[in-house]
Parts: sequence; C-alpha cells; structure tokens
Amino acid sequence: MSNESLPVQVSERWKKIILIFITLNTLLAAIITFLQTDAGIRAGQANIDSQYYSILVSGELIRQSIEGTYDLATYGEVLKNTQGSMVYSYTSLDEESKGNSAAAQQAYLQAQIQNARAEQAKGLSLFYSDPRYLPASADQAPDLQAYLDNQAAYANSLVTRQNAASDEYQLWNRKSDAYVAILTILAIAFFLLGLGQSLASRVRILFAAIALVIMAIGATWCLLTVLG
Amino acid sequence: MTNDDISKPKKLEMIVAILIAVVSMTTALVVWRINVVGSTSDDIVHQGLINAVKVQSYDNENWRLLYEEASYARDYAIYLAGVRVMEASGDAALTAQAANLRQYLLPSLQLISAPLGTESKYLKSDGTYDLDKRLAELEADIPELSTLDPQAKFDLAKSYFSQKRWESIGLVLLALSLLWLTFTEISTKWLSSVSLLLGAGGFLAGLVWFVAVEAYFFIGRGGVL
Repeated sequence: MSNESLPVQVSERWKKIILIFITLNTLLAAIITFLQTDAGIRAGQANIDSQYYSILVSGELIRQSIEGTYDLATYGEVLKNTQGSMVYSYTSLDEESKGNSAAAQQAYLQAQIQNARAEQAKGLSLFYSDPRYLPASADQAPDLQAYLDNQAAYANSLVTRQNAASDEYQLWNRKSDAYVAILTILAIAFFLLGLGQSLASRVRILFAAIALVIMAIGATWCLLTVLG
Repeated sequence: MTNDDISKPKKLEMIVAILIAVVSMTTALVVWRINVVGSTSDDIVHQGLINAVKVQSYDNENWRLLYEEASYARDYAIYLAGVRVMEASGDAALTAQAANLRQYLLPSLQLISAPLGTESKYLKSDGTYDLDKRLAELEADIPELSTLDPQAKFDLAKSYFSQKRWESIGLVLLALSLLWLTFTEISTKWLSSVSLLLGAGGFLAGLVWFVAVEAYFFIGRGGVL
C-alpha cells in the first residue's frame, strides 16, 4: 500500500458511511411519512365524528325543546284544570253553607267541567301514562326530575361523544403537525448529508456528524410523538 | 480489458436507468391515485355532512309539525271533555254554551289539529293520539329522507380513508426502491448488485402491494373505484 492511496481510501469509506446515513434517513422519513398520513387520516375521521355529533346534538336539543314544551304544557293543563276544579268545589261548599243553593249548583257544575278537562289532560299527559314518571300517590306530583333527566340523557351522551371525538381530533392533529415538523428536520439532514457527500475534505465528517445529530433528534421526537 | 467487459457495466447502467424511470413513473401514478382516493373520501364526507344537516332539518320540521298538531288535538280533546259535561249538566245556560262551543270553537280546533286530531287512525283505544304513527307518516311523506343516510356516507368515506392509509405503505416501498436504485448508479462492485436487487425487489413489492390494496377495496365496495 502506498502512502498516497491512504487518504483516498479514508475518503471513500466516509462516502459509504454517509451513504448508509442517507439510507437510514430515507427509511426514517418513509416511516414518518406513513405515520403522518395515518395521523392525518385519524384526525380527519375524528373531526368528521365531532362535526356529525354536533349536528346530532343541535337536532336533539331542538327535538327535546319541542317535545318538552308539549309535555309540560299538557301537564300545565292538568294543574290548571285540577286547581280550577278544586276552587269551584270549595266555592260550591262555601255557597252551600251560606244557603245559596243556586250559586252552589253553578259552582259544582263548573267544578265538574274543570275536573273532566283535567282528567282528559291527564289521559293525554306522559306524566300520567309513563310508569317512569307516575306520581307515587294520587295527591303527589309526577316525577318531573326523572323526566328532565331522561330528556337530557341522550343529548348529554351525544355531547360526551362529541367532546371525546374533538379531543381525539386535537390529539391526532397535534401528532400530524409534529410529524410534518420532523420531516422538515429530516429534510435538513438530507441536505447536510448530500452536501457532505459532494465535499472532499474533513468538512464532510462535520456535516455527517451534524446530520446524524439532527437524525437522532428527529428519531427521538418521532418516538416521543408515537408514544405520546 | 475486452469490449465485453466494458459493455457489461454499461448494460447494467442502462437497465438501472430504465428501472429508475419506470419506478419514478409508477410512484407518480401511485401518488396521483392516493390523492384521488383522498379527494374522493373528502367529497363523500362533505356530502355526508350536508346530508346530516338536511336530515336534521327535515327531522326538526317533522317534530315541530307533529307537536303543533298534537297541541291543537290536545286542546280540542280537553275542550270536548268540558263540553260533554256541560251538555250532560241539565243546566240551560251551560247546554247553550256547549252548543255554541260545538258549533264554533271545536270545529276550528279540530281543523287546525288535522290530520292527527281528525283522522280516527291516529286515535288509540285509550283516547290518546298515536304520535309515533303520525311521525312515521310525516317522515314517509319526504321521499328524499330515505335516500339521505349520513352514516352510510361516513362509512364509505372510512373505506377510502383506509385505502389511502394502506396505499401509502406501497408508496413508501416504491420510494425506498427508488433510493436503492439510485445507490446502484453510484455504488460499485458487489454493492451495486445488492442495491439493484433491493431496488427491484422493493419496486415489485410496492407494485404488488398497491395493486392488492386497490383490488381489495374495489371488490369490498362492490366494484366501485
């Protein structure tokens, strides 16, 4: 071996090492590209779910409001007519005690009318037909709290799912952004390795070393993102 | 060195150059196809969201109409119950009042509660109204409603999303193949043969993968690209 051939061999050896670095960098970039695509798709799907649940929630709130207005208005008819009937009954008894039979009879008939209306309203009311809300006894009110809870249950479950989808979207979107940043870093490593390959001095080693550090940062960041 | 020795590496260079061109074009084709798949999935999602809003609008209007009819029907039934008691009371004034209510108020209330309050098919044996039946008919009255299935659109979009994901693996294989083929051009001796082998193998693997993914989803969607 001659003295002149030694630097040439060292130079060629570094070329091959840089070539291996380029291969590794490409492999890393390929993996991260796939991860970025996957994260982007997952973020997109979670975003769709989030938007769809939002639409369903808004619809459910409207339905709940319309249904609730009807149910409570029907219950209002029960209360109004029951109380009207009671007032007329008391009036009838009062007039009877005063010896005013005609007024007592009129009040009694009004009480009967109001009572018939109240009974009809009860028949149409969910609170007197659905076993979940039936009053515990005749003189008690229906279980309005259970009604309100049940009314809100579906909307609440949709909101929970919407929030979960939204959180998932944020998570995958952050990952997707991180992978894009890592790919940018790897592009810098590519540039440095390419520059190192074209140089024929010891600067080549410096470029390769910096590129290797950048690749290590990219790989670590990628690992942390995957595990995160 | 003979002429044959010189021509062999040149032939290899030519083969590698052609291979690089073929792999590049295939990669470009795969990138185009992945973009088309992504674009299709986005279009379907867009349509799915529009359908979801449309369905919700129809549902809201149906619920509103249903409970509007139900409210009038309820008012009618409540008034009628009172009128019946008036009629049976034997009181002349109340009977006259009942007659007027029957003549003027009740028909108006019944009219605005139609068809829920007027058609006997909605009246249940316990005297209540069959709101579910009326809602089902309101929904059936909108033919478009049955064609708007947002969830089906989202499921279809998910199929395209999956296709895009799996095809991107093929793209990675093709990119790696391109890299190895480029190495073949710049490396010497045995390394070039290994690079060529890896490059050609990667290309074939990527191509087979891409075709297999396309075929799988094409069949899975019932012959829809």
